Amino acid sequence: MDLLLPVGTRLLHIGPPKTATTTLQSAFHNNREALNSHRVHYAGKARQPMTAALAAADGSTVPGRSAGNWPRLLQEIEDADADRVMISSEFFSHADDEHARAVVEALGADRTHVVITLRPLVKIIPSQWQQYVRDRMRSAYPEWLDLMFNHADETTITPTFWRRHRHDLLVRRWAEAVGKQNLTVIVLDESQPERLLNIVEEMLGLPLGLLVSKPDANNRSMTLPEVELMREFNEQFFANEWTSEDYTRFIRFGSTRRFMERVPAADEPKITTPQWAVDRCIELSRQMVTSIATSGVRILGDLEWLTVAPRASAVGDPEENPVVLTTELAARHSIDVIGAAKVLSTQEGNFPAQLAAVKQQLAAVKQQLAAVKQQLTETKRKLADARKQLRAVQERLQETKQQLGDSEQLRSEQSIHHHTACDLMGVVFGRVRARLVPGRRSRG
Amino acid sequence: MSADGAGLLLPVGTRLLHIGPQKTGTTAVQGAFHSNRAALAEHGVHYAGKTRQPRPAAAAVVLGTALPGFPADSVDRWPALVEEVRTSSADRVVISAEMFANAGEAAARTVVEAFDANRTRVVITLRPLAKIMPSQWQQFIQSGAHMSYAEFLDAMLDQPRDTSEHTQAFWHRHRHDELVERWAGVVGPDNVTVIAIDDRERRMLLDTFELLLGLPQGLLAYDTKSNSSLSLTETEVFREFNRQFFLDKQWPEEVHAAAARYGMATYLKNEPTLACEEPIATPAWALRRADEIAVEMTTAIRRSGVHVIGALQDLRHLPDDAPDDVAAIDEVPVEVAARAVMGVVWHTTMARTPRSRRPGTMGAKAPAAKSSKPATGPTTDELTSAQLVGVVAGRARRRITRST
Repeated sequence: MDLLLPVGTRLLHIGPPKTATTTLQSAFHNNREALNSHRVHYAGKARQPMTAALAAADGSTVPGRSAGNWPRLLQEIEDADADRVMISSEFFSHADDEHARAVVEALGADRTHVVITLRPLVKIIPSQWQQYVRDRMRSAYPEWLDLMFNHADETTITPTFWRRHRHDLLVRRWAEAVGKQNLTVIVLDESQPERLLNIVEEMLGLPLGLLVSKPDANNRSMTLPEVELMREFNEQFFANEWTSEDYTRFIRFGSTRRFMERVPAADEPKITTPQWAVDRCIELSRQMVTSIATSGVRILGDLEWLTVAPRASAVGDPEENPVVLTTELAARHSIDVIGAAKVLSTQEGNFPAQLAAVKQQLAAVKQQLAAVKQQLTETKRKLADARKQLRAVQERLQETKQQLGDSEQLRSEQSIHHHTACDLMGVVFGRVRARLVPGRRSRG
Repeated sequence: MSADGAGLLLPVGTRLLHIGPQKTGTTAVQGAFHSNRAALAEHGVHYAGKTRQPRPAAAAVVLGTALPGFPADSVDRWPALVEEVRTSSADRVVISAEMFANAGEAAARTVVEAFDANRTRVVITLRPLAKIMPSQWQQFIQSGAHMSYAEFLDAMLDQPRDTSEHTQAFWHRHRHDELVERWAGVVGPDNVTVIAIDDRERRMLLDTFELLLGLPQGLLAYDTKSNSSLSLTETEVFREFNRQFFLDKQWPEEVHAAAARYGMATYLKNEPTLACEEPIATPAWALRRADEIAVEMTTAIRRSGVHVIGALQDLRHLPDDAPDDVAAIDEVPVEVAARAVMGVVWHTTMARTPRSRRPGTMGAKAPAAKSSKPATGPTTDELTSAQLVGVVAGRARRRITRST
């Protein structure tokens, strides 16, 4: 069968979760250059465009992260200088009929091909539960199974679960949106992990073996003691009134990522699914397989494999006894919290450097403050001087006024004198006149 | 000395210097003094210092340095303490800090002379060595050690005293006969009082202090804080944490002090002990060895001529149900492990959570802030540079506004 898609195709892989999505995505993300040289563009900057996919699928966000920008991702796809574009995020599986149609239309209904990867539900279920616990859920496994199988309509816990994992409905929903001829279901074969990569290589016209997957510690499932530690921790975390934003930042994308680098001992207990839930899974898987088989989409791999019974070791009721941890495991997550906090502080700026910078700023502000104070003192002094000068001027003015008054008085006195002088002059003049006319006196 | 308490009252003018040692109920006694200051003052008793205990001041004179985590100028608290005691107008002054028990002879002399040798009464509280051992081990673990209890007991009881820092520190405090002799040598046996604590009498220690100080019976009351010990289960998680921290990661000491001692330990102590947690039980051989030492110590103390309150034979403790070996903890309940993580989260990432959402501010079950450095406002590392500059600018603005 020739799988090669036409030039111009946008290949949209929608998961669902727990179907080797991380393997596929890291194979693309880590080989971007090689992809480019074969004219394939992998959309987004990270391993997967999680927040943009959520925005497109149901408008949801990740607590503590900014809302995804779906239009920007679309623009990037539009602008890509490539023959084919690959878009992969399991979060597209959250979309309802309407959103699925909108996603396809936005990508171009005539050039979009959807890929859905599938694994047996009975294998997905424990893995999905521990993933929810890693994202702050507190429900115990049996309790959660009961909610999902018997009370899914009533509970508010993990509302996305059946949206993701009613695989028949998922296939039909997207077949409706994109056309059944444009949808390929790939049934994963765990004995041949490279098969998925080879199929996608063929669809995109890549040389066989170009996509290489790098093992990722975070992609493993937690063991039972690990997940129980997380669950109890979640209980205490939220009892302390911390927020989902804190959790996402410090725990989910912080300490838990480091914690997953731990290598559990081979005999560390795994999560086991109770027989009743296994039976329900297989029953449901049979229904789903029948429905998918008749849906008219292209199916690669053997659908019957989705209904096989799990290994005996994966089945069993949870222990009556509470789970216990080794001291190594008990102490390990505390260490990882510190490790993550150290990383956080380096990401957000090395603390000592930050402190030094603040100190420097503080010193600068202090210096400014000192300068202002000095100016203030100087101004005050000048003001005082000016006041003093003013006072001196006023005093002088007063003095001058006084002098002026004095001189006026003097002048008036002088004028009196003057007048007196005139009088005197008059007298003198009179005398002179008397001298000049002596006869008058003798005669008189 | 009569046992009914008659004649215990210390003369007016006495400075009662309580030197511990560690793990003899000091935290509880200090809390009783600290939280009843006003009532004490009414009865002519002054409790020196501003906090539960003047530890930085005592460290300054005993160690000659500031305590880790305290500013360098905290050494000035010693002369300040001496001045406070000197100028107190109270009839009797109480100074209590177990750090004083770490003093060598010269430091002890300096301390006593500072408080005036003529009016200082040294009080030493004692509990059975056998009970101090588990308590002291988990304290060492909280400070970063990673020896097992079996290794600890072997080092303390079967190795020379100068084997390690831990053995030296332990015996300097807990060779109680030498401790008594050291202080009696400085202040005179007649000015030393040993209180042999009877653990069965809860108020014994407080009643005794009331008699010594002339306080009405019942005035001293315990506050809520106790320096409780970790269980064996918790200590084993802590010990493994220390191993991963120092051996695997080789992270710095101060990160440990913050995240583990003040974060994890505080959080664990504040949570109720679970039924499945194991206590730290001392094996029979170690109890026997400790009892031999206790006999030597009590004999020497009896001969030393110091005042003794309580019965020295109570310092022997030899239960007959002791295990043969130290219990091995291979498995830890998830609750304890999750509490350890929570304690670290609580401390390590607290800086990045808005204050209003911090544990303790919402009435949630949360560790009461009970580190020795109670925070009264955000510390520098709780604020971003921008916020800090904002604070400074705000202050500068206010200063400028005020001064204009």
